[in-house]
Amino acid sequence: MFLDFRREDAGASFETAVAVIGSGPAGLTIARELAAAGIDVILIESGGFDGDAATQALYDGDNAGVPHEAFDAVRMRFFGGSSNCWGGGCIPFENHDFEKRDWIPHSGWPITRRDLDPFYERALPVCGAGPYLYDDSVWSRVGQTATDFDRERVRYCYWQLSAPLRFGEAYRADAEKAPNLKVLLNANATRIALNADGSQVEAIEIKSLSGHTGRVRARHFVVACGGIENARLMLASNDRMPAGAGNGHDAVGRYFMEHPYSTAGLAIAKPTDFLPTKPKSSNGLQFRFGLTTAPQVQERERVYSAAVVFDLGEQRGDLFKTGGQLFPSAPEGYVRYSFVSQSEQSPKPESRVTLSSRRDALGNHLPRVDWRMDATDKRSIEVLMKMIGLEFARLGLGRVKLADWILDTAALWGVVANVHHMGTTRMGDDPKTSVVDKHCRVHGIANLHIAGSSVFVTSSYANPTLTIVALALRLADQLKTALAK
Amino acid sequence: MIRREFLFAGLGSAAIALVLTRARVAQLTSKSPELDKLTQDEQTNLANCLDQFLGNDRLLSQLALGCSVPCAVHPSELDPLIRNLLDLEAPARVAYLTQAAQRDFENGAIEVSGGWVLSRTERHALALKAALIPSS
Repeated sequence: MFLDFRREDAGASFETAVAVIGSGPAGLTIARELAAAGIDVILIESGGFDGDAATQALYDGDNAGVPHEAFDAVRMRFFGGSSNCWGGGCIPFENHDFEKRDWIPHSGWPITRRDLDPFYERALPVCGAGPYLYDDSVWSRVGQTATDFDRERVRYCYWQLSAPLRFGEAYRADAEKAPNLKVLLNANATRIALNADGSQVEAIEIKSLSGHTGRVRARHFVVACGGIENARLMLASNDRMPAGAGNGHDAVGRYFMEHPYSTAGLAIAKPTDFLPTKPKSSNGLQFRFGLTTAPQVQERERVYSAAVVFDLGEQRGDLFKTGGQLFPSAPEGYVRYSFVSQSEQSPKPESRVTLSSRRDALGNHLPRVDWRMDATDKRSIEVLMKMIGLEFARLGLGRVKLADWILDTAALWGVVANVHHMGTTRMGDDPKTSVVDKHCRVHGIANLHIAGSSVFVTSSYANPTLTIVALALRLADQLKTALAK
Repeated sequence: MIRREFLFAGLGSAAIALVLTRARVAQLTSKSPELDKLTQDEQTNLANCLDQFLGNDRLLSQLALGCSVPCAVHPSELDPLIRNLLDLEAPARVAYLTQAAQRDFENGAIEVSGGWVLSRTERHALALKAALIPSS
């Protein structure tokens, strides 16, 4: 059932087994899973069923680092969360994404890809995608043949495309009918209230923009507000722990990562289907094709993972101011393509979310995001593009030119953020360098759990939503087990 | 005879460009009648000098001089992009480039020039072309 918390008669004191903050892909998935298992859940959502300017303004924030899109413009604060602006890309992380890579400081998850395998399978239908299909068999499914790229240089990668599913719309009826799921709309979590020694959460304090306040008590609490807001809420809950809930070692908010997104180069190539520019369909499933740096190359060159998709023409012509010098136009029989990259960046402690001195309409500190990148983040794209250039030439497919910004030593970066906020409450075994343990439980706080991309240790090149939902399903299973005891 | 000391002023293709320009042999392209005025010994001597800058790659030295090498590939079979890039017409150079470039790509021997991912041989050829034809 849904309750509008702006109404005074909605109540002010709530009690449940599990309180989940945030109704995006992570929070709504956990709430549905637990409710389906007969567990009482209260889902706390800041907005209503549609976006409104006043609520959306609560997503404002300051940017102190690499330029970033306005934070209130790239996330959605109503039922379904940022699935309301999701592109639909579903792709799992790869094995090596979870491994400790000695050339990437602070890499290495406390879980393996194998730990997530069953949850990826379950996550796909939750996200509105098909069965688990992420190998070269995708080519035959769409009636084509893969090109024989050297797998020790570059590899194909595949996205399954969801419609994209708007979680709020898709699961609203389920939530309405679920007898043990209560959704508090227009209820903003303003503080995580800890007990005296900070070892347990007692309640979540909530407040509507209309001024109605309340508390939600529960046996377990899940913070699922997004990669920036999770850290913001933890940092702002600083009455028992001066640096914020779960922040005894100044780890909350650090290691903020994005997916750098750029036009990385162009190709003058023969017009073939070896890397389709548009999604391909098969039996109702849609696939997007890309190329990614082979793990061997990443290790040898000491770079991070990156991937590109192919587009006709140039997405950002200004990146190719000198691009026409050698080839003013594609020769007859050739087509000019552009490569759009999405890449991993290293987790950096100094890349972080803190609290701004500015406050929102509820009186809470806004987040201040200091997004950092370094030369290796950039070189990771350069290395991939060189490998692609090498393979295109070797196979006689065409020739590749790197974007000017990659080779401009004066320009550290020429990208935009792909608004995937990750890493601010990272997973790890050491409380000094992480916020949650491998079960997504906050170190030192027995009943506080975090869901979403803020627990990512490293970011891969892969879009985060499928991994967010897989981790949410895993956390839901753990909570079911814990509550059954 | 080309004076050998001009050719030892530095290392790498950039130095070659500089030296060749100073030596006033920039006209010595395959299209230049000046090249034909060199005796076979002079051509060989110059090729030997260039060898020292180009990893003893005699073929590349010969390429630079427009000397003939066995030709297995007709220019029309060359990747038109590279033909366009180098403005190469001479069958000998085209054949050499095609074979050497493919060998480079198989071995991963690439370099970036003007943003383009080229084989090392193509990159050297470009530098030499720039040296021999400064206006290109």
